[in-house]
Parts: sequence; structure tokens; C-alpha cells
Amino acid sequence: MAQKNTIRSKPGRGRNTEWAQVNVLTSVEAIEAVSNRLIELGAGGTVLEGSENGRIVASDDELNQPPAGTVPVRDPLDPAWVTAYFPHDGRLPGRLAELKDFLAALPAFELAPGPGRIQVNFVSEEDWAEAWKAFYHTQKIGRRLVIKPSWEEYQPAVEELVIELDPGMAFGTGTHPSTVLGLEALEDTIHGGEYLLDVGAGTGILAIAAARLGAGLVEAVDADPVAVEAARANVAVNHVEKSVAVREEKWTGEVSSTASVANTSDVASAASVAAGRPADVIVANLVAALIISLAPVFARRLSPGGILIAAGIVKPRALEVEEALARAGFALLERREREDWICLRLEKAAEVEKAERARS
Amino acid sequence: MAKKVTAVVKLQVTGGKATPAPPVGTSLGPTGVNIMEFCKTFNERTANQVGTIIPVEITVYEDRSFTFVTKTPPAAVLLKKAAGIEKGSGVPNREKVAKVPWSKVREIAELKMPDLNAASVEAAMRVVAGTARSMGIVVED
Repeated sequence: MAQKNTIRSKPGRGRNTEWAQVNVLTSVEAIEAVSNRLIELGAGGTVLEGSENGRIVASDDELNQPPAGTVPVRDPLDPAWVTAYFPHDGRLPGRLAELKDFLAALPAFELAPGPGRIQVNFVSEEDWAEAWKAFYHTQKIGRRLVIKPSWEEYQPAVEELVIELDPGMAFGTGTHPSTVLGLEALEDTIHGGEYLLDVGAGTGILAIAAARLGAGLVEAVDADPVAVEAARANVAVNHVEKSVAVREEKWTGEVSSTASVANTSDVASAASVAAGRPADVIVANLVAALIISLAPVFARRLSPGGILIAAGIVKPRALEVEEALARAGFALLERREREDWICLRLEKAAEVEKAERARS
Repeated sequence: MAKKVTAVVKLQVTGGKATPAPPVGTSLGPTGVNIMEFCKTFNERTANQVGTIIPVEITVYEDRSFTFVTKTPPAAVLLKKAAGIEKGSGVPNREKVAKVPWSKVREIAELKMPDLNAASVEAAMRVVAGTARSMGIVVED
């Protein structure tokens, strides 16, 4: 734990190395200069525009302005934090003195000094490589599914299906309400042997669950190469390579002739054969706008009586999504809610099929 | 993917050499980001810039998954390269170690514009020139 401005009398020894977290409150325009100075003083890197814990000081709304994740341009004279870490040892007082002189000289360099404050916290050495794992634990979802990180042991009951999944750079760590809702809906949908399409697969968690629940053939597509790589790795870890094919594609529902056949495994060739025929189930954990625009495509790619699981819908947009899906010929079977999220389970009505046939 | 951003972390760390030690571990740890995966991917992506300080922006989503982008090198790194020096002056207000012309400052400012949090090229030039002076580099034509 960080302790503010406290000097411990006990010297750091062995594993209990302590770090001095040096937070400098300067101005936006002096960030580059201060960061360089901290690195030249021996820091292994810096945290810019953060707070004591290195996070951006911006409201939730600001972070989610399009393009999401970018921080608005700030006034050059606004205060800004730059943070660096130094070993808590005999060199620290000298480094802090040099830093103080440097900050005092900023006006001479024609840079706004800002508040010019230095705040020092002492942080004990932790196993940071392991500490983040505290956020993930084995969790039971629905009646039979268990999502487990690789580093935890779990003794499953007879009927339970364990999916091993480590969080990383792809969406779908199992901790998000929309993922949980999608998993629960799959459990009620898969009876065995289905041909399922997972659109926007992320980590592949839903595709893997579908396979473990008994789906015969699962095709998982995602436009993000990072997600595709993660999904392929997760498919292998969970030994469902025989029934899950992962493909990098911006899904439009069209059966493209350019679909990669580079992966010549049995399941990939089975998938390319199956690609022409209608799916029994489509699961789409996307966002409201995408589900609305893809609604007619989902209808076209499903067999009559086929099931669509639409997740990733925020509550305020649920009605809009329901209407779009109804227009595309879907009948609502079930509406699940968790926190601010909605998951819809729908059936493609037979009349749509007739109408489509009449048109063609 | 119901992605909602919960945190953005901006770091400057050494290319090809990210480790879970501070500042990476201390700033990403509390967000629940898979630190080993970040280090591994960052080091792979910056393998051709080993040893150079590289700004990186990590975006953390609601389910603690993340993405990151690397940016153009810091102004100080570009200035050192332009001035042909390894290190800035330890006492920049007294001891000058190099000179760069305004044309170079503008060039660096234009290159860094998208990453500098500056509203105009003039504002970016002010940042670059100030950074130069803070390293004992004289800006003059």
C-alpha cells in the first residue's frame, strides 16, 4: 500500500525493496521536459497525465466521447501530473534535490511551471506480474458453465462444464454482464448438434461454451486480428478445435469466396462447406447499433425457427433493437437483464422464410 | 463487443524492455490488465526500437481487457537525435551542450502534433523549444 510522505525507519531489505513514487504536479506544456528529466535521473519510465495511481484524470463521459479512449486537448497551462519511480535508497535525496532545481528553472526554459509540487509516496515491492490476477476468479454461470482462469484449480461436479480462459487483449473475459447473459442464453439454446455462428467472437468464450454445450459446428468470426489470435489460442486450450473454426472477417453475412482457407484443418473445411447453409443459432454479443444494422442479415443467415441471441445491448437502446429485430421477422422469446445490459433471445419466424422465397 | 472504456494509462517506457516493475506494474496493476501480456506484446511491437523511450497509451475496457497504441518518440528523444547527443545537460540553465535551429523545432513539432496535446503547431513548437532548453540545447538560427 502506498503511504503518503512517510519515511519508514526499517530499511528496505531483500524482497521488501521499496520504491519512491515521485509525483510531480507541473503544467501540460512542461510534461515532455519533466518526463525526460525524470528518465535522465534514472527512472525506468514515467506515467503521464495520471494521478497517483497513473490513471487519466478524466470523467467517464470524456473517455467515451468518440473516438473512445482519446483524451481531449487540454490547455497548455493546465496542471498535469508526471510520475516516476526510483529505488528507495541513498541516491533518492540527491535525485529529489536535482528535480526541485529543475522545476524551479522551468520559467527560464520558457515553460509554464504549473504548481511545481513534488509529492513522494513509498510503495513496497509487490509481485506486479501476479497481482492483477486478484481480479479474476473461477465463476459459475447459469446451471452448468464454469469459467476458470488457468492459475486456479477447480474440481467440477459431474454435470459442470469448465472453460479455461485467461483475460488479455480481447473482449470477453467472463467478467462482463453481457458475456454472462450470452452464456446463460446459450445454455438454454444448445441441445446438441447445432450449427452456430458467433459474430464478434472476441476471446471466443461464447463459441467455446457453445461447443462444450454440444453444438456440432461453431464458426466464430471477428474483425480484430488480436481477438482472432486470442480466440484460436483459447479454442486450443479448451480442446474444442474439432468443432470450432475461428476466422478473421468483418462479418456482413455474405458467404465470401475470399474466406481464408489457409487453415486446412477438418473443422475449417467443414465450416467452409457449411458456410453456404443456414445456421441453427447465431450469437451476437455486439453493440446496439451493429445489431440493428445487421438484423436483416441475421434473418437471412438463419434457418426457419433458428435462434438469434443478441447481447451487448445497453438498456436505453433495448426497445430500438427489439423493434429492428421484429421488422426483420424475429419473434422475441426472452429478454434477460443484468446490471445495465440486455440480452435478447429470438426466433426467426417461418413467415419471413415464405416472404423471402416469394421475393426470390 | 460491448466495449466501454474505464481507464486510459499513458506511459513512456523503454522499447523492447517493458517489465512488470514500476511504472508498468504500479499503473496497470490496479486496472486488472494482464501485465505479462502487455509487456510481451509491447516488447514484440517495439523490437526494432530497443532502448528508445516510447510513449504508449493503454486503453482499459469495462471487462478489464485492453488495447494499446505506441506513439511517436518523445520530443526529448527526437531533439537528442537532431542535436547528435546522448544525454541532456545535468545543469541545463548553466551548461549548454548543443544547438538546434528553429526549422528543426518546427519539424519535430509537426511530427509530434497528434500526440502532444497541443491545439496548434505554435503551441507544439513552444513545448519542443522548451524541452530543448530544459536539456541544455540552445534554440537559435
